[in-house]
Amino acid sequence: MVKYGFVVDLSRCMGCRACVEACKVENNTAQGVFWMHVFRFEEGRYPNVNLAFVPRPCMHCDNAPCVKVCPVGARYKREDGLVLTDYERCIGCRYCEVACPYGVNYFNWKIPADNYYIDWKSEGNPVQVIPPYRNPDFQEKYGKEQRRVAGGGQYVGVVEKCTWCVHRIENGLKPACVTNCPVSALRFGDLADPESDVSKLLVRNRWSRLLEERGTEPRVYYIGGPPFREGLREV
Amino acid sequence: MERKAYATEEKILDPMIHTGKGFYLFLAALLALLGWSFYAWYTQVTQGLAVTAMRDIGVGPPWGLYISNFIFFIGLAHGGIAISAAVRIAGLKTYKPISRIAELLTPICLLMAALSIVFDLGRPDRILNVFLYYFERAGQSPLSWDLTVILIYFAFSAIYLFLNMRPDLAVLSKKTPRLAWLYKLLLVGYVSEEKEKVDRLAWWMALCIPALLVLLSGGVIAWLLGLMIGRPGWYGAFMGPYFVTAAVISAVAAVIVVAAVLRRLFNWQDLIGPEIFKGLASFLATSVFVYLYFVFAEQITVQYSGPSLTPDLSVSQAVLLGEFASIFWPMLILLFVAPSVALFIQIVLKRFSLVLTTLAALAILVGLWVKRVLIVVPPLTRSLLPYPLGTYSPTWVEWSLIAGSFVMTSLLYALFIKLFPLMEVRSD
Repeated sequence: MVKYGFVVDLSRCMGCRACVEACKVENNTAQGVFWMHVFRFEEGRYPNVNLAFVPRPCMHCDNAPCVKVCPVGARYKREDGLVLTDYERCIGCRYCEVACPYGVNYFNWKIPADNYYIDWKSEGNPVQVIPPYRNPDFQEKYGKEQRRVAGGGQYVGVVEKCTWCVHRIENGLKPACVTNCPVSALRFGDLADPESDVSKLLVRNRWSRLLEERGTEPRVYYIGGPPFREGLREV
Repeated sequence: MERKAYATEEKILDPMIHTGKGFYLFLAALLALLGWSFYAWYTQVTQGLAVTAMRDIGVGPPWGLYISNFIFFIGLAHGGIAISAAVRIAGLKTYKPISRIAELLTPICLLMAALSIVFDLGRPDRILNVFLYYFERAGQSPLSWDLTVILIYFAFSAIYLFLNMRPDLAVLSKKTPRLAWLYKLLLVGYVSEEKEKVDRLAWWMALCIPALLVLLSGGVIAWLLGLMIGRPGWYGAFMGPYFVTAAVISAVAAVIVVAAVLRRLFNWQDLIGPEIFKGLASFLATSVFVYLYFVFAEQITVQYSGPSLTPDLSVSQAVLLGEFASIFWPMLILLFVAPSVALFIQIVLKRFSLVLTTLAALAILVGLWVKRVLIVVPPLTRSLLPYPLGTYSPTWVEWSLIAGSFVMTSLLYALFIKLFPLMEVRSD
């Protein structure tokens, strides 16, 4: 059985936010929605200063608070570890958003089609192509459960979040953020396979996970130093 | 004696038989306000929840006035039926005249609580999913637990109200020919001997009500927030007692206010004696003191912890010193301490003023609504991870829908008054 995991090498991350960009392009998320978010910090006083970055995808927790609280089972965990949202079942109560300690959920407060950086509906739309929210990949159903889970900006009034690019994974690709990272700070793979990239990294490195003490069993591992430490100031 | 009984019955039935101009004006005002709320809801449904001030974590709170209002109405719902149950179980005959006035609060407030949840949903068109996937989710989701207990409570309170009213309807079907068809419909299968059995049944139901009260307010509503490991300021076992106390207080305060208004409106001074208000007011003052102690205990536990619990501490700081302080302190002083101390002084001096009591109860009621907002919102503007602080200032849509829920409560209450007797009618 595949067991997907995500490894972030903080010693490599340089805060370019190519992952954020890749995610937005790939998943067509609306304005103000960042399924991949990068915390940026500085520490010290001039001239002895240092910058630090912490990329934050969805943690796809094994004991996911969002899955537990969902009153309709729209948020669910797959056998391979992905935590996904069924856009056709979600009633928009936002309980998952309230329950999540990591703040990875984004609600479609506005009608997504009217909430892009480009007005795709207007006649003079700069790119005369299918608008991204009509991406055929996102109309499909995925996994054993056959549910509508991929991509963003589909319905108003539902919650969306990082899917680890389920539509890419199922086609043998890696998540867009991982592929686009210029310094390979983000790794993705099968934790159940000891020969995989991520498994080897976790054996060779000291790792930690965000808010581990909350018992959520997140599947995103941070190597290359602790994610948050004393003296960091958010930028 | 005969004459007095007759006079009493006339008085109880008076609001049903005579409808003045004032009532129609009141009704028209309520309907106009309701129309406005409906427009607000239409705006929200067509434009999305972006018209509210709620936002994602790091920008604003994902839950705001609607969920606070939901918790407030659940609290109100208890009082009525709990007082009525106490009357039955403990034989508190003194409070009998207000038992139906109180009972009626329960089903109406539960409906308004459900309505508040509908306001909050991003997809109200999919609300039936909650029932469709109920059995899949009832094991885990506190929101499904809420649904379960609210449904049980609603069924329970409606049946309780209905069964106890049937003997009165039998009397009424003879007295008011205009509505006789309605009463006949509600009296299906009625035999005059059923009163005795209904009384026994109601006694057993009354016995279950305290358990339901604890299960709902001390249980599932508190757990809706108290089980959230990811929210600073919510997680902990304290929520249960905290919530159930608030529920009882708001309920008793609501009964005082409603009973005092109706007493004045229908000249029921001889039917609802001052001793009823005296008893309720003492209970109210005492329980507000307990609640104030809870507020203190909650804050000192977090404040004492020090910086290691930063997110929880930051919620407490936001309430005590930060952006919510300008709401918190006036609320605490004006809406909790002042009215409860006034009620207490009244008790100590053995004096009684109904106006003062009613105003104090009203202040406490408003205070508890504000307190619910201060329980729900601040923890949602703070995060365990270093996101920016969220801000919240509710929009006209949110205020209109909240107003709508109170208007609807008044409307349902007013219609009930015109259709059914608010007190037990003496049968011939």
